[in-house]
Amino acid sequence: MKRRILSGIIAAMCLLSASCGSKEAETTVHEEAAEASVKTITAAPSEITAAVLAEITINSALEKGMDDMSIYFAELDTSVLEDVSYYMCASGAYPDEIAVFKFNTAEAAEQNKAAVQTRLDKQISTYETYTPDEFYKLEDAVLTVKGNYIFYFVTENNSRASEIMESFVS
Amino acid sequence: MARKKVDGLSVAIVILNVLIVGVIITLCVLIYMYMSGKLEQTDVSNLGQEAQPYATTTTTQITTDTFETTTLETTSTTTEPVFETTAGDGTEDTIIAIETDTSYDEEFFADDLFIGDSIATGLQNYGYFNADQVFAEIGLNPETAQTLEVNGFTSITKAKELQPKRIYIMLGSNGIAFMGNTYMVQQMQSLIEQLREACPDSYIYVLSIPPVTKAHESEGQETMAMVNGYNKLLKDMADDIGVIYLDLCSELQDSTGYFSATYAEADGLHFLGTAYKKMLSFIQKSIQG
Repeated sequence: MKRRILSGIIAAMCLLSASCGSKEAETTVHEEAAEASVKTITAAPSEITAAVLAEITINSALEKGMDDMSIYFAELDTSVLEDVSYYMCASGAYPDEIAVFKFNTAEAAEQNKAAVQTRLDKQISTYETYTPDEFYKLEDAVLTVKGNYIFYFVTENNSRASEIMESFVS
Repeated sequence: MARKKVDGLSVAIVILNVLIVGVIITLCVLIYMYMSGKLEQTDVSNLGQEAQPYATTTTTQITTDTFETTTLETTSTTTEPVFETTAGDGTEDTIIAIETDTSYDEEFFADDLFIGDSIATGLQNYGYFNADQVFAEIGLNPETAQTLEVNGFTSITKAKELQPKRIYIMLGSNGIAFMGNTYMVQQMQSLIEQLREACPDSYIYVLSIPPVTKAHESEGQETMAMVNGYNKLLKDMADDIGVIYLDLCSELQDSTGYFSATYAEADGLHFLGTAYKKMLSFIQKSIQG
């Protein structure tokens, strides 16, 4: 009888222990989720721009490299820029361009947002009178900072570009 | 007895292993034979990619066209034993034809300056020239080209700083629909005179503005009649003041007189990447005779 009671107690303790264990796991998951809300992106900028270009067309799209940043984003601090993927309409006919910048820190990304805004402002002032039919692409352009990334989209479907971007943010 | 059983088992295991190895070898041979057949086809299709290093010196569009041509040729001769030779020759011929048509010497332009509008921005965007050799801005016209500053320079102060061997000007597409051809040509003359003063040793070339597509014309802005009218006045002015006029427009037209689809961007006004190489080739050949 004593053995049965002892066995029962041991079994109950095991179950309780297991239950506590799962609660700990749940707590860990919630903590991770909370940390993730700080915006964790693991994809390379080129992966993200490739995903956007797979769905959204840019005429005469041409990728420009790190060395070209000073030409198109003159105020950008490239010393804190780890990686970039930038596509533009090379013919100059359309304002379309997309860029994903990866900085070494989230603070650096936040500080360089103004440099990308300068580019956007220039494009707005240029295309507002140059090709008014294309201006809608600039009116709802995407310029946002997530973690140590800056996302910049001027396309025919900026809302879809945003959705694609969000799919890379965990 | 026990030892005999062990020996008997060992023999059976050895035979079984030999059988398994035999089956594996047979499978490997079969897979190899199957793959060999596929590899022949892979070699054939790779011919187009081998051509890429030659074609990539041109623009992306040309590269694509070359691939398409190569693919068509290779497909038509896949069963012929002499396929590789035939396909190789065909590919090379295609590339040479393209290279001959649009070849130019980078060194030829090494000390030159281009002044233009959004079309000329493509010279820098596509990497034909660095920013030092291009003064170009979206929406630029012969009037604004004299005063507008880009990165702290007007076209004239930039030319004065650079003292280029040659200066090419292609302006007018922005304006023929609303500025008036006579006024624009007067402004071009004013621009040229200022450049001459700033760069007395430079040769100045005036390029005609390019054609437009029929689709662009139907949108009701720039038309071929406007383009031709402006270019005629431009040529007359160039002849009068002694600068060389280069008729790029004719080089970019198709048989109907409109902007050829080979060179025209989707808007029917700007250049595809292919057009820049055509333009540079034309300029060099025109100047060198």
